[in-house]
Amino acid sequence: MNIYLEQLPQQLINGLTLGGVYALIAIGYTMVYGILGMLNFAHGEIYMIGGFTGWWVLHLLTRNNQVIMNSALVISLMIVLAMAVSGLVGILTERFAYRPLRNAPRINLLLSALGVSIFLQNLVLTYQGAKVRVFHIASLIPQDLRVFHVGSTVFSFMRVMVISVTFLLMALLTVVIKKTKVGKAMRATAQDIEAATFMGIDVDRIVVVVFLIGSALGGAAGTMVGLLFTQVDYYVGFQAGLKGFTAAVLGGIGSIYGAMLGGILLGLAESLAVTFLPSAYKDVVAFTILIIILIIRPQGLMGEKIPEKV
Amino acid sequence: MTEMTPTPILEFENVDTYYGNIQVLYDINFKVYPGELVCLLGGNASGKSTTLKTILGVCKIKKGTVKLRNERVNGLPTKKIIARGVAIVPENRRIFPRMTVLENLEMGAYLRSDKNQVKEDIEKIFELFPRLKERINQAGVTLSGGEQQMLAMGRALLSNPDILLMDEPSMGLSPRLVDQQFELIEKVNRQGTTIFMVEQNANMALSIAHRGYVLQTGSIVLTDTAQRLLNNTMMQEAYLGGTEACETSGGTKIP
Amino acid sequence: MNYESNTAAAGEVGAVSWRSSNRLILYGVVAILLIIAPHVMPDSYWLRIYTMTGLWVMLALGLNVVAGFAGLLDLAYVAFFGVGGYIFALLSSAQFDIHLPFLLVLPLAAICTMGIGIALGSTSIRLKGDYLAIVTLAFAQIFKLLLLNLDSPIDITGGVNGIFGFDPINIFGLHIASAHAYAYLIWLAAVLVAAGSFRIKASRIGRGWEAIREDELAAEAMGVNTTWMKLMAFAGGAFVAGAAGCLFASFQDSVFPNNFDFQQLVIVYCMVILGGLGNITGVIVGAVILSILPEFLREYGAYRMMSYGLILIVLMALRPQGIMGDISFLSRKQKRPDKDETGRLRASTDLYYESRDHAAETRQTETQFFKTNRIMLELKNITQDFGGIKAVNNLSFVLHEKEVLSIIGPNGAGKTTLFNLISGIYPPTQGAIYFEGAPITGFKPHRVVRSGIARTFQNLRLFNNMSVFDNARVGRFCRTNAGPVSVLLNLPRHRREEQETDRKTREILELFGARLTGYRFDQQAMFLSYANRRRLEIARALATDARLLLLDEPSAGMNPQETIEITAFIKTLRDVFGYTILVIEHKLNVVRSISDRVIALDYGIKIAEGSYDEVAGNVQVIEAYLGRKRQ
Repeated sequence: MNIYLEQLPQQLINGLTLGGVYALIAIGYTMVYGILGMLNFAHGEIYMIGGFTGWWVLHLLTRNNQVIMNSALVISLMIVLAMAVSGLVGILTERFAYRPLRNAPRINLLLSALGVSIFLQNLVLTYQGAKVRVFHIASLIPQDLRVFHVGSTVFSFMRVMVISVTFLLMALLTVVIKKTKVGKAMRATAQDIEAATFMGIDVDRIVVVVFLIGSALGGAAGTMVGLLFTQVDYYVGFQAGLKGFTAAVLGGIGSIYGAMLGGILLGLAESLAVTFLPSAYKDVVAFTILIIILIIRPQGLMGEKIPEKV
Repeated sequence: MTEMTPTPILEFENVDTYYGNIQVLYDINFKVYPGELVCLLGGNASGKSTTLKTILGVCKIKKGTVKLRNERVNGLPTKKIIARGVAIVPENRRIFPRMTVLENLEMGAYLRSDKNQVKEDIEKIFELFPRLKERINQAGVTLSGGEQQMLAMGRALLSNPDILLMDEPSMGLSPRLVDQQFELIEKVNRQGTTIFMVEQNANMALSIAHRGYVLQTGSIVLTDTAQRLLNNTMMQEAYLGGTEACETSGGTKIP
Repeated sequence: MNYESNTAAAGEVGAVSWRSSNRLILYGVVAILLIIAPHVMPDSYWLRIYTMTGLWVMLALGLNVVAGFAGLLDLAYVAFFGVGGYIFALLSSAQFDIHLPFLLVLPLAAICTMGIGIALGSTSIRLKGDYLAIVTLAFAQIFKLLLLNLDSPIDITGGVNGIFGFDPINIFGLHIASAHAYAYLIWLAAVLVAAGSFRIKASRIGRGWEAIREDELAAEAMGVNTTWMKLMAFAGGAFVAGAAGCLFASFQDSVFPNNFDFQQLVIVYCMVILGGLGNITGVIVGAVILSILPEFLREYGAYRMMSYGLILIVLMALRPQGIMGDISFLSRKQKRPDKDETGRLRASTDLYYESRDHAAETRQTETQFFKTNRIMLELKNITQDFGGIKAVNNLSFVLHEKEVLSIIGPNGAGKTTLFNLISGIYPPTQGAIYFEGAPITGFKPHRVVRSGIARTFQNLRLFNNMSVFDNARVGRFCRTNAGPVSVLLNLPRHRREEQETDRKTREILELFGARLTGYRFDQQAMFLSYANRRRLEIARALATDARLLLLDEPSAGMNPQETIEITAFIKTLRDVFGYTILVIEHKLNVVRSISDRVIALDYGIKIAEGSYDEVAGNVQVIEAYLGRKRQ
């Protein structure tokens, strides 16, 4: 028992980092679902593309194993460009794969999303190959700053950075949603699309903004996971996407705060599970949670049950 | 004819509207002048809501013209029509349930860029509906039916509309609230807003309106000043039973 | 004029001409091709491709049952394929030294897989489409993670290395070892699955699935037990996948986790979608194309999976019905205008029906049935509360046998909610409903239909892509009970039932004369005129053998002429055929002309009840419609 208790703070830190990333991915799912009522299968690939963009920026800015600029600047560039590229890909998928199907049966939309997912995954496979790309972060952070200890708990610089950026992004998103005109229009559209049209809101544009924001956050998550675990390959989007979706469902799909909460809970649950189970089973835990939630409480922790009207 | 008539704000000229293949409106003509409160009356399924949807560009016009201030607006998308000074209080109010009262009002002013004026106008709405001010930070869904109705009207007014459309304002309200509701509509109109109201509750609507049109199965069968319509015996006929078209199917003729 | 042959032509539907000698020739050609094919393959490599093609065909057809027929997005399908494969691997190898004979393992694998499918399906089938997709995807992931990790502490699955070296197959002393033998075995299985697919699709089960895919609520309200039927599709798909997995494992002589990956899932989906969801021939063609084509595009191998993604996106945007096109797509192009009021298009068969029409008209004048005093339907204190709003409030009334009772009231008075309560779409918050003396409160819609109540919908809920005939045949679902086994084996009981279904359905459609018969028999519902669609909804309700009809605004959207017709028809339904009718109607002159009795609702409360004149003259009713005078 003691050994578990000793590990607890460490697992909490790990869980919080992981959870923050899941939350960022989950926000993308939940925002799209909130407005279009569709499950964007391809969101995991958007995340993966973010990871590759981050790797590529780092790669370009590294000469002889040394970054050629200030580390903080490199990391910022990685995250910002990853967000830009992922955001752009998100907008393109909406425009070409989803918008033509706005009035089609749901299953068609889902299958199209599945197609986008396969397409993007293999696009990256074709141009990047199947090999794992390694983030050479050694020169980014000076040796003595890489980790620091508080008691028996190890804090790594990267973890602290990821947690801070994650929470910064979530705070920013909250401000956008709460305070800006476009944010309010997004909420209005999600709550009642027809009434939103009556206000003069251009729903098509709002959908584009939603894909942009959701995908950009996914891209940021991709790069940060790359920095954290120092690698990315074409297949990472699949697992991450499923995790993000699990988080979104856990929190209540459609609810942005739910996605944040769900992500963090899922991250914590996984880390704690690893304390008791072989680490290979942490994904099994995540997906079992997903199945149980969907069956017992499909509206999630913070979602509202909407009575179906005939 | 002798005096100069002002330009109507809203005008229908020989409008036919279809829902898919089904014709819903037959040769509709009417006008709404500035400052007026005009109601469009009719029983269930008479085509009232379709008329509103036609104005908003949701239902497509097959024949005829819809004009706003003498400009043809057929075929424009909803958002363009809203931008031309039309606001609507939809059936069942449709306020944004998880946004606060203030946010709901702000959405009404979505297309306006005069921020400071909007703030003043919101204050004016609060003067008009003091109850809303008390609930300023409450989510829409927590409001009572009457308060939701006020919010929906306030939201619509905040776009500074040339004309305010109201879709069945009495629908789903208890009788006591219906009275309140119509008092509000009257008040807003008397303060200068042009209103075109679609309503089933003829007696109530006519008691506050200037003029009325009566729809029956997609055609306008009666029109007059509100006062005269109130006392017209044909009203009951139009609601509860047929004009010629339907008369033939009534009673004894059927084997 | 030879009426006899016209009748036959009108009665036989769709591809019936195919069923005769042409069809036999086709079967012969296919059989010969399949027998010759393995021997004309240029080398063992191509023979292997040929055999794998058979396996893909089988897999695609199995998926077609779930995703195509029933419209369920099952992403665990390839996991089921894997379950079958691993069951074979564990029971026919040195892994645990279990060596069961193939003839036992094959059905065992299929049935176990089906069992797992049912277990997964029964918990998740009620979830909406995309949630079901995610649950199944999560299941597939768990399955793969288990395959990868169950090599320690005890080695069960062999982990990444999989399991290999299986017992050779021996079927009644026949050794399946050569590549040719496998080609025959696997294609035989594929042909069996194809044959089964055709039979199922043409049966009541196939129609039930199609109805669910078209409009689940309407299917349920027409007597299809949707939960059960969806589970059956899910189980059927798992069964085929399990069997296919078993054959695949033996053919490859090994199983690895990578054989049952997301990629394989996407490939099978592409095959099914390329061919057209639900289109059996299309799916076979799709599977064959996507199995063989990549071999010719070897040097572009890297683009293969990418192109699968593109295929999905492009097909969904431009041609969701697949390359083979559906009959629906072809007939949309050469759509025959449905003119029945003016310039009627004449099929030769119309003449026959016109001659019968006259008979029907003379019959219409004789009134045979009147209202009796036996109580047919009774509502006791029914309340429906939608989160504080009482759409129906403490409502009680009775409906007598062979009575026509109209419900009137302003918009939002709770009329349609009342129908939804009686037909079981909502269980009432309070109160009880009795039909012919027995309680039906809380019954699911399909049970309500079975007990003898059928309804129509205010906003028409036909199965738009199904033919007129099939729409009405779905109504017979609750009066038939052939299960999958008797359908697949085409047992005499099932054949008789189908004949009976066709006969009854045709009788009912004939009540509507040329409106729904003649060339319209096999026209898709969506091409009917609005009034004819309303008629077809009534026909579909009649086909359920209902004794009580709930008609929700039968004359809505009809022009005066059509209104007169439908009014007369409703009268006929009672007067001549003895149906009991509860009707919601807005056109009060229709109400006046058909009703024995009228009930007026307002705010979910009964405000008046009595003869038409009593109710229409009631002050409260007038006020409900026109509103109170203001003080």
